[in-house]
Amino acid sequence: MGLLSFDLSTFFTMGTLLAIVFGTAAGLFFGVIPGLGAVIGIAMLLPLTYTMEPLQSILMLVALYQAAEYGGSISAIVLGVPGTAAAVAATLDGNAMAKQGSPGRAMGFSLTASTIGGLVGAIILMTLTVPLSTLTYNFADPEYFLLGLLGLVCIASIGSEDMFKSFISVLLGLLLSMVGIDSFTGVERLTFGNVNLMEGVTMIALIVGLFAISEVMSMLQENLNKRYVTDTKRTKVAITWKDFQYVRKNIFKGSVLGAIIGIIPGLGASAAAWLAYTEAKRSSKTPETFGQGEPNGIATPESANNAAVGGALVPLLTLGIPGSAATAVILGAFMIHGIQPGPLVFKEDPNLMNGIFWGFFLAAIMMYIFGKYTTPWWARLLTIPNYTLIPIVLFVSLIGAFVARTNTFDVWLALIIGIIAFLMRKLDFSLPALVLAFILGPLIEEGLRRSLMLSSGSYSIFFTRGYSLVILSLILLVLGSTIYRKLKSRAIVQNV
Amino acid sequence: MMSYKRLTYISLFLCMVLGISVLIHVMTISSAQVKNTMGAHFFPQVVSVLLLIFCLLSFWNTAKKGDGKVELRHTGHLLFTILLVSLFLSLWHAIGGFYILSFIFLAVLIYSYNQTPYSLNKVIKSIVASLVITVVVYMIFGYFLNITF
Repeated sequence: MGLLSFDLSTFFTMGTLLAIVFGTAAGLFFGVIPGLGAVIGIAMLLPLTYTMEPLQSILMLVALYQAAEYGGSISAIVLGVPGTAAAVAATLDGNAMAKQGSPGRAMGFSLTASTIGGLVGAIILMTLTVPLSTLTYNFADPEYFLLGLLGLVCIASIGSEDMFKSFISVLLGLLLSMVGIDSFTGVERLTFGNVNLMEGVTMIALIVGLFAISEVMSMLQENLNKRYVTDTKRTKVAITWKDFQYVRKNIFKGSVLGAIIGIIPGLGASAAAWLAYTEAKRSSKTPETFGQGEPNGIATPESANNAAVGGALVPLLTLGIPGSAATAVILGAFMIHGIQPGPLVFKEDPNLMNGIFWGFFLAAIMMYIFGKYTTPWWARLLTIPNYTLIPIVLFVSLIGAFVARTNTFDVWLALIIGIIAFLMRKLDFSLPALVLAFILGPLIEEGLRRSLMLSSGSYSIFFTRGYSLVILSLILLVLGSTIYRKLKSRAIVQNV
Repeated sequence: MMSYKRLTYISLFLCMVLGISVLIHVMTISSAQVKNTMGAHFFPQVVSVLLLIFCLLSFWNTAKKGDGKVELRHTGHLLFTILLVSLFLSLWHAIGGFYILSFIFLAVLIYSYNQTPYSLNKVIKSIVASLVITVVVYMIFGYFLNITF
């Protein structure tokens, strides 16, 4: 079934619309509060998806992801503290404009750019996904093994300043993915006799522990009585038509750049925002105005970080390879409903895919509506002191870990993983690399073992297929460019 | 404050211990070999060996770099939170009464985290906040989603 022949009446149900509305509201909440963000929001809402239809759950999480990227700019503009990493670029000019007495205008630029970025991301998602899925329909086990490896190499190369620790994080994630019963032989691995580990480490427990509980521990390091003071006057979100014309070219550039960057595993919304910002500054006739309240300094990174959301969904939907930590957690929603994203799902369940595409459009529009009329309320949320916020986040995280199997073992597991993850963060290990490896581990192992079954144990199967050779070249390219980058930066440091 | 290098060495050592433990563990797996495929032990072995190699590389890389400090502030809060969560989970598992335990758990946490001096106002705030949160959780999870804790 094509995109344009999709029956929209099946899509516009109360459940679907409520899911998008709830996801948008949740996204604004998690985006506004510094330190939370899209990944934690998705991790905390993931347990709710057990009780929802597949399309509703995915759209709720996608809407959350989109809205969180805009939400991060609210605290960036009002307080000068970015709510999410992707909002750092917008802080420079956004907060400067707010200090000049126009926070509402700054948020207007951000919201308009975010919405257009989201819509462009949706268009790119629609236009690239279908042809790519047709291409990947020809992929077999060797290609899936190598694609999984490519995803891991990308995220390990970019995931942390310390490349070796990134790779160690990947390997730890792979080890975690092997806990449980081996699907080929039925043999127990790494369960140590614990019956609760027979089905493996629960993904929800892992994600809640890695992102939510470890973040709670990081927040405990801060001033617990911290309460942001916001100026809630002049926060009416609006820009004029003339304002829009001034920034429209950079919004378009930022959107396209952001969507393309979002496709590359490991980069994500933060990289997209910064690259778009630097490009806008570089190509500007008045680069000295950037950092002083320049509208393009707000609009360009914000359009890029929202467009990157659509871009990040491209490898997820076509290959089943998440492009970022957030999409890795969204992949969890697919897996909860027994759906493996990839070329087959386009054939077997086209309604789901078309529903996601249309839902993405709707989520961007919903974000605009919510943002236009409710931004001052979300700005007020910043006045919740940490001593109340932290227990709420911790408590909801513990519940989330329980809900998956209604088993307190998972809550204990989340707690232990959270403590370890907190220490790992302090030592520059990469948690996104770990979770990505955990999710891709079964795909990689099955691809490898099935390929060797097909080739009677010969590794030449990975070198004799055209698609495999292309993917292998990409892996070598990523590794080579990472090593070159590290050597170059080391040479610069030594020369200094 | 603790030495970044020392903590890194400790973490890498623990990773190596994990890698070796996995290697020893999978050696005991009697691999039910299917013809022309690797057994259940192969992939864990590969990953464990790679883990050991990367840990050694990271040791070398860390030794070359300068040292830094890892700040662990408010460790009292951290330990208190971990202990309280453990107590909450143990009691919940042993005696049930999830909502009552949750109310007490939240009230204690909110009260403890609030650094202002003791006052009746502080106690009331903690109780009211935890009551509201518990009721909201009940409405969402217990009532609408029908989840039994």
